[in-house]
Amino acid sequence: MPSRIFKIFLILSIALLAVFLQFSFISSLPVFFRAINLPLAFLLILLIFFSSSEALIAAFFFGFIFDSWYFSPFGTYLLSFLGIVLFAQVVLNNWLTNRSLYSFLVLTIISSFFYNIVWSSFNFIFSLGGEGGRFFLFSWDFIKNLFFSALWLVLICGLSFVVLSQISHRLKPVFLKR
Amino acid sequence: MKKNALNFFINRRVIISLVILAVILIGHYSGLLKPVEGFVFSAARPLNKVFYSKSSKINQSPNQNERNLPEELAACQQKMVSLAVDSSKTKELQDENNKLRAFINFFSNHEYRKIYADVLAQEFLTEKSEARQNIIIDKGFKDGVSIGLGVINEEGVIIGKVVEAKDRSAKICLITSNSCKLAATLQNEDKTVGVSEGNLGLTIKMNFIPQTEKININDLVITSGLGEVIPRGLLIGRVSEVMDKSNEIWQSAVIEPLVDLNNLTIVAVVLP
Repeated sequence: MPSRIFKIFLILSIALLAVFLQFSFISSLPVFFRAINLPLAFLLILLIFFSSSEALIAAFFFGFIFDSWYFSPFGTYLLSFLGIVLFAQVVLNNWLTNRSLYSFLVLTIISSFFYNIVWSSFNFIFSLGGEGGRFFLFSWDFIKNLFFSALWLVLICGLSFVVLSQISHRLKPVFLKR
Repeated sequence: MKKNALNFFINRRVIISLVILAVILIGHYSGLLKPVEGFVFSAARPLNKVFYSKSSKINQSPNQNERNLPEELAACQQKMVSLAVDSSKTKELQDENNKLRAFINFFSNHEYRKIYADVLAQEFLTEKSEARQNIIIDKGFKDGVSIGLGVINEEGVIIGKVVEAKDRSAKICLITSNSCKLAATLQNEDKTVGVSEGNLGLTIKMNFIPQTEKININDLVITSGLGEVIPRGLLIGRVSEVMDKSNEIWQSAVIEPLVDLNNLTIVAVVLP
């Protein structure tokens, strides 16, 4: 039990750092770097290396803080982060079951697309008639961001996988042995 | 396969998550969670300020006017020497001090009531369009900020207006943002009045100016005071281009902002 509490404390501490970096640091960088989504990367890494319980706790943490700080309608981030954890868990349980680098990278690409579409949909639905209530799907900015964020997510998650697979036995090697 | 996915959605963890989600949403929309949200924001404010100030330094846009490059180079060299001498912490404090002094200078010559605020972030996560730029400041309804108020930098140049506010924070649209409109007037012979609006996150445009009005390059543009809460006389920018086609009823002017909007760390909200 104490080790589990310590684990959750450690996860929330790293999550807090990701929150600060995302909210104040990354959001003010040049456009290309703004596509970095640390909370999403962290949730996917948690899901692969720990379990869905830890990822769900972190999703609530990210969602509540971002909904409190940002000016999107409250619930947009909570629903999006929670949605992505549940979605990724279903994909992991049913299709990408072998926990190799390839399946992890496929998961990050699918999750990145899913998250961006879900977040923008919620924002669109909640802000209908307002400033955010413009349809996003055919916007060049949205499509550009979709690819940039997938690219960053693959880079961050891929690197994390390679590093963490050295210390964990839950994962398969990068290249399958004959 | 379908059965597995269905089982997943009716498992205990998912149901508990949905219940917690419902509790949080009900708590927020009924106002019960407001103190918690306020505390979370206030507690994080100092760290957010530090992270934002580091980031805004990286994001300082280079001067787009190539003729100024030699001066810029000289200024950079001077800055390098100064940076070598000062520690980074002293430099931060010095910058803040200078900005506050400039604010005091400005306000001692103008009778505006104001609220100083720190910039904490730019509002983006998945929305990356340069055409819609907002910043988030650490003052909100409880500090006297309300929607529509003008926001200026330390030199007294208007940088945007409040578009949304919470108890302890507010969202400011920058003047170059497409959604940011201000009642403006040109300082030309005719004192042309119109509405300025951001143009793709880079410049400002003033549309629907009658062809009879004479606009000159380098005319200054100020707030007209016709908006309900923004006072007259706050500098917006300088006319850099006039678009007047003889076959059209209206002409428009492109206005260049006079401040670097990527380097805002302290601003002041001007009260009516």
